[in-house]
Amino acid sequence: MTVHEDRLHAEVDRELDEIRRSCDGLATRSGLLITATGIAVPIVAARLATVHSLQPVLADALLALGIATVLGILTLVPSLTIGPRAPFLQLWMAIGSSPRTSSLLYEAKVALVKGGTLRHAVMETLFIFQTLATIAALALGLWSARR
Amino acid sequence: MVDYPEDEVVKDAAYFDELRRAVSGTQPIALFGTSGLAVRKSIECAQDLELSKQIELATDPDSRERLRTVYFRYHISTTILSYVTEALPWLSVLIIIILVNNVTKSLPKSTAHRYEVITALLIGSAAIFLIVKFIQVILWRLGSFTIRYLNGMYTRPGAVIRASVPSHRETNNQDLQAA
Repeated sequence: MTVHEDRLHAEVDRELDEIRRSCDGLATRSGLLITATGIAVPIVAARLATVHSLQPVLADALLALGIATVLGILTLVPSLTIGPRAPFLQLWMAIGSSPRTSSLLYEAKVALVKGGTLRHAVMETLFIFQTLATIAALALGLWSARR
Repeated sequence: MVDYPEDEVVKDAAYFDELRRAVSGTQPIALFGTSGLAVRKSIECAQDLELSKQIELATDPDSRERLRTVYFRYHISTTILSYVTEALPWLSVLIIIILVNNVTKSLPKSTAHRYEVITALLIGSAAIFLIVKFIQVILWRLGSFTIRYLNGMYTRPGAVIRASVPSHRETNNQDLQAA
């Protein structure tokens, strides 16, 4: 492998690592928001026990809670396994050093970077909507508790 | 015949099929196969680029013409398939908007019933989006396979492995040269 190829492989590895870390960070923040949703649940539930009919504010809070929870689950669901399949890695190792296997490994990594980037974008979008839904749920829950 | 430079890797159909198989199943599974689709589309792009490169490298006019025909068919079909699959999720959004518009016009007056309808609407919208995403992924996979098969750019799994492993003769020749 030439120095040029080595540098390209290193760059792709760095990007894959960056995407993984960024996705992990989003997953952690999404988990924290799910906890915040969990805090809003007893507030809304306590209010639900005291009213005879479902008020619009309370219903909105419940709806926002549901949406936030679903978005939180969707943000956490995508799994991330980066790299070619193990049988192919074994095969390429068995073949020995060849420009073809090196090129295959590089192109597989590049394709996974593209996939990972899109996955990150989807997670980020879902996380933004989850944040908005959680804030709305908490605000509506507190508002209904004050009334 | 395509005359590759000596130090260049031959990126034929077997090469790209091996690449597809190597990343299939382990691609980061983003929401409903979205990023898996991006992985596959990126491989398709690389194959498209390689085909156009092969036209330049073709030595005789006959094979150049044949490659040009294959490339044109492949490029056009892949582009159409790509646009169709890109449009599908937006079509589902359009269906959802029409559905929401129709339902909100006739919402029940009772608060409890109204929220039951809204919840059902949200679940229904999510289901429509999921179904369309599933169709999108299946359509891309089947479409891409059909395009490659019809253009003679598909290799069986066994052939892919054989393409990777240098033959005994080749290995022996290399050993002889090294000696």
